[in-house]
Amino acid sequence: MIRPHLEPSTLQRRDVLEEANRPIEHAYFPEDCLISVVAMLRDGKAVEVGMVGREGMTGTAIVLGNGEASNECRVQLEGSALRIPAAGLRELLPRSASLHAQFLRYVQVVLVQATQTALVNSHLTVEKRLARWLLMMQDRVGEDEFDLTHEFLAAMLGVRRPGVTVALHMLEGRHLIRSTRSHIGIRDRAGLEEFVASGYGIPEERYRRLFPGAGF
Amino acid sequence: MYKPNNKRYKNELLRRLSQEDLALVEPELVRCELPLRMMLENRNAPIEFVYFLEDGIGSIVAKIPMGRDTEVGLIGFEGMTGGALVLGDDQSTHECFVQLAGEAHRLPADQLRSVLSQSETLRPFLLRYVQALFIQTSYTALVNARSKLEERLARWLLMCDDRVVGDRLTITHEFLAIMLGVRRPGVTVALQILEGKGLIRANRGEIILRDRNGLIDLADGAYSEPEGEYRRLIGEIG
Amino acid sequence: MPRYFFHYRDGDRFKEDYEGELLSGIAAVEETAMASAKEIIAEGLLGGNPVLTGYSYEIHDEARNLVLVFPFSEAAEKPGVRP
Repeated sequence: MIRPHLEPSTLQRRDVLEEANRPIEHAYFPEDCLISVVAMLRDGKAVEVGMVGREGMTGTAIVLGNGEASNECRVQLEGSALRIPAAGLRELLPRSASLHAQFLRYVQVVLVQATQTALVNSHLTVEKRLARWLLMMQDRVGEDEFDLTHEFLAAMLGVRRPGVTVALHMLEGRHLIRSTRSHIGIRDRAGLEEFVASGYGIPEERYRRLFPGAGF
Repeated sequence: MYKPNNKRYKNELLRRLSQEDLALVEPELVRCELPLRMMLENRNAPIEFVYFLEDGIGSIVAKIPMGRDTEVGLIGFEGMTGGALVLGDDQSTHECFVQLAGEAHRLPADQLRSVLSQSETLRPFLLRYVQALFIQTSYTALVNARSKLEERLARWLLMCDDRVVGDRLTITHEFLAIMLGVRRPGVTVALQILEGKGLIRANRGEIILRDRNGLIDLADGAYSEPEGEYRRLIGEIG
Repeated sequence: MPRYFFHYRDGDRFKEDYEGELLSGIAAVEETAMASAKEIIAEGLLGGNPVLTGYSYEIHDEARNLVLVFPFSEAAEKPGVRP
């Protein structure tokens, strides 16, 4: 039902897909790109509150019935996505209850992701938050190696850049990752999961429960 | 003849339901007390009732095993519990319990599901509140990473004050510790910082807001954005 | 479990803890004081303040007996459980 409305698009790193308090133009369904949902204070202090890959979509404000974005959506890893204009999606939702229901279930996952981020930001060390972030990234990219600057990671985690360097060094010392300048490789996923413990996995579990068989 | 009446509710959502939706919901609503620490939702368990708060405060709390609880959502007379049901899930991921005693109108989860399927307008309306709550949670994640202790405290006090009539808050330090993500004894120290600035007076389990605007300035953007979004999505409060 | 009250002193200023909390004994009191002081010191540093070593917790039991004075300087200088 939605297929005829979808158009392919190529997304570049740092493209802004949604801006806070602005109308959303398109909802994106990533194929192999990765998108960050970023909450920002008016003085520019920011933190990532959600991550969207091929398992999800942007434009959740449209699904919730409102065309304005609350947070910023920024492309983190370039790649392709399918997109639908906001107006097209708005027309479609009332016509297909099952489509709307499916998208709302995904919003529930997004909400759980945000609550877990609030939790880990309050109680976990930068090392653990970084480990959680790398696991979430690997879930969505399916690869073990990423090109990431420390500056970018600092912006996502809401800490200063040198803190990321220290945290990466620490994860490396535990033989969980390999880190060179702007490149990170995951060496031991199980070890990372064990290190973060219950700081990781709750939104992922919810996703699998709401979308059984989705291969995520 | 039965005629639904929005005006009899203090809950902002019930007050704003259309006559048709209120007529569907009202016969199923039961008024109930919300004593301190009453569980409104259990973690990873089916939701039994949805509560539309009249007064008091409900708190959505996330947990890490062996770790401490963290506040991830605050609900008062402007809102409702059971957001997961509105999104089509039957379980809550987190606990929700009463942090300031009050009253609510409750609706069994099955009834809400049935009413949602009968009305084309009820779900879209309640989804607007779900979005407002989502924005609040995003900001909590943000300030937990980026804002100073006293800024976070100012934000929570303002958010509690918005949900309470009068300028006296009788919230426990135990609750404030969950909001701030610090141990309970540290709350006394944090309150003292705001007291030293002349913004509040903290006395015998009671906190009085002396300078609301000063607190808003101190919170430095951490307060007022989500509140503005609520007004945009739902409307003015009161 | 007994209830302990963590009053807080900053020079001449004294702030009473009216709520208190249940803890298993003096070891748990000391651990809580240490963890809480570390947390408050860390928050202070993140807020751009110097280390707040002039503060202390004065902890009383239910009978109002002083059971422990815990200067924040101990938390700045000694190891303890992670807050």
